[in-house]
Amino acid sequence: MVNSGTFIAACKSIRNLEFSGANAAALQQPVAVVMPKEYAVPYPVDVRTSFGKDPAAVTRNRRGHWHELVQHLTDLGYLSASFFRNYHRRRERRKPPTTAQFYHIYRAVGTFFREDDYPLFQRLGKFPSTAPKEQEEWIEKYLTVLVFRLEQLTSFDGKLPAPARYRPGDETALGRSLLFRLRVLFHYGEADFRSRDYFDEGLLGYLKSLEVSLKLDTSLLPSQRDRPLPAETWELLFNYDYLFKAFRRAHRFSDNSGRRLPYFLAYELNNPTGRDEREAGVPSRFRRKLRRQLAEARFHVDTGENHLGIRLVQIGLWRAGYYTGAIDGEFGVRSHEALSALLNQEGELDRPTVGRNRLRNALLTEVSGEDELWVADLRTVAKILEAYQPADARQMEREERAIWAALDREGGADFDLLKRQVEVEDQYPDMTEPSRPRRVYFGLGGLIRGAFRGIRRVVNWVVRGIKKIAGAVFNFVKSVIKRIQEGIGLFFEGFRYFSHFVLGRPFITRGKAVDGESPIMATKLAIDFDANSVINARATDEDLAAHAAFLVRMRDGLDFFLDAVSTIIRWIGNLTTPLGWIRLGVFIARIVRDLLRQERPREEVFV
Amino acid sequence: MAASTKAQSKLEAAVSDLVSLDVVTFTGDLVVKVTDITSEDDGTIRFQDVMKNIKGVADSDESAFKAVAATHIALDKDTVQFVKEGLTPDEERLYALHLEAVKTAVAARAAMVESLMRIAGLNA
Repeated sequence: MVNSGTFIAACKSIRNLEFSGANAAALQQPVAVVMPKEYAVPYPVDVRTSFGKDPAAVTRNRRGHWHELVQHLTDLGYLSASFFRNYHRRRERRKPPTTAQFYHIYRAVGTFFREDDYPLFQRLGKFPSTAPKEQEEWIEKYLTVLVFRLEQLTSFDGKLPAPARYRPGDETALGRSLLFRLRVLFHYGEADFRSRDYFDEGLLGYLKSLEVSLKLDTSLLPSQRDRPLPAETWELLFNYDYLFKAFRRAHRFSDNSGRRLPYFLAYELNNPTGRDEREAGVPSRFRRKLRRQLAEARFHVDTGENHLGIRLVQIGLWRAGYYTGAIDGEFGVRSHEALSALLNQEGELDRPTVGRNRLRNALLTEVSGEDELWVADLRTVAKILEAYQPADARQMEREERAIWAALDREGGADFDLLKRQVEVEDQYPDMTEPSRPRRVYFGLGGLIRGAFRGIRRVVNWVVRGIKKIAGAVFNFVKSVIKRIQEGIGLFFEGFRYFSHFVLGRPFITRGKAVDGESPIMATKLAIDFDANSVINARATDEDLAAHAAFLVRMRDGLDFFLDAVSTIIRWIGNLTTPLGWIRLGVFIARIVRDLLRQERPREEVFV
Repeated sequence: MAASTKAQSKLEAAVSDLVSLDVVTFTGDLVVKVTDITSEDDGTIRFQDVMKNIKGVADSDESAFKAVAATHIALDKDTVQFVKEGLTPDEERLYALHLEAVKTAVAARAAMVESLMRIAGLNA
């Protein structure tokens, strides 16, 4: 097994354009041995190998990337909710999707690709119009790019700039993205939303409603018919933090003397086990305080019929890594447990976001028979959730570096990710339940901030095997897996081409077998730029057409992949610190992310 | 020597022939037994075994492969094509594939030169 140090050294040599035998061998090793079969040659391997039965298999991350693709396509209405449930029912039984399900996904991807104007799509080959096998190959090839773009359209982390050309009613991926956001924020419009695939002028009333309930000074509506939406509308709908901030500003209450009044969320939970308040974790001395606070409170729950405030709290709890239920405005057991867990994590910090007294009073309860009355101080909760706001790029790098440094100090930076990620499986929501939009998406920034907030928990889980896996640990694992899926996926795909040219390995198509023997067609494109094809004389017209089609498809996206892989190799060649495979994967993913955002990696890229 | 000039020299040294591109299509008796090259574990094709097979055929009989078409493209874009005289109908079928290989080789060459220059920091 090649070690990461050898691979880094080979990249250094390649950076100096030294293609000696040893360097070639160091490249060949990861291609032939380490890379999962999805990246093997001959190409393509059946996508079903990504859906093998072993939950800890090396293909797991590839499979996860497919699940993410399906999730985003469902969020945007390219796939239906019932399709989504059926897909996950098979996943739960550890079965690959059916052929019909794969075809549905291929069609959905084709529609998405046609509807979206992401500039990078122009560098990729056309989506094959009919042959499912070619569609499958195309999706496998560009999986990372597709998921990245879909993630931009479904996330609430404010990474998508206001589009210049969109008009309400446009049948584009952006129109679907807007509709998805309304579905997350508004419950009472379900009938309106269900009958549409795209946002249109008939839904402008919802934007007006949002404008009024957030008491905004500026209008969210277009200045006139057929005009684009104002930039503020995109800013608000694409960025959870802006939305939450606007909500908090609109719900800031003061008395006549200007004194801030409390803003509570009171909810009842059924307590079938009859546990007392001591078991619920709240000392009895708070009972009096609770009653006094409730008596004083003029505003308990003031989130409107749509419970927008509760939805926003649920989204915040989701981002913190604790909530995995539906964003439905109902503050039930799952929401409650998520909030309690978040407050517990805050309590462990050396410097919690709010003072310890305030933290203790953030969630109080009174148990009466089978019912529990809970009162959450929303001002405090909002203040804490605000601390999970993703940092800017530089601060994010600093925070991530701190996490890895803490793991390095404890000797756990190169933990066995494949085994440990199985441990967090229970944290993922049950995707087979019928539910309203159950998931919101956040990019890396939110995950890393969440992991950084609970850095001690992360270290304890990785190094000491302590099983507190919600919250910070969950965010940490997701942030690492996400990188492995994204970075390694694209790097391996490009590396396949690169290593074939450098190593002079031919691209091979096997013809249809007759009596157990297959004609071979091979085309070798070597680094000296001479190309040789060796074609079996017995190859049928169909075999020849298949190999020719393969050569055509290989040209598609070639410059994109080689561009990506050469940039990555150059940066790996810059490394001066030894890195294990996991951190090398994270490092690669950082460069890949810049490339997908169509930015060149910065010089001071994280090491 | 300026850094970029040095890298340019390295690129030229690393790539033996930057001024032309030759694409040749051969044909011969090249078959493999499916069971010989297919992994028992998961049914995927074992690349190394295919290569061994090709090499085995070539080593045992050098005349096993005949060139049916060759295309030479010079840096100044002058293109010369050679096609074997008296192509049999079977060999003629290969010509379309040869043209695809030429197009792919041209595209790959452009992308690879760009890629190597980026790696070497010439156009990063």
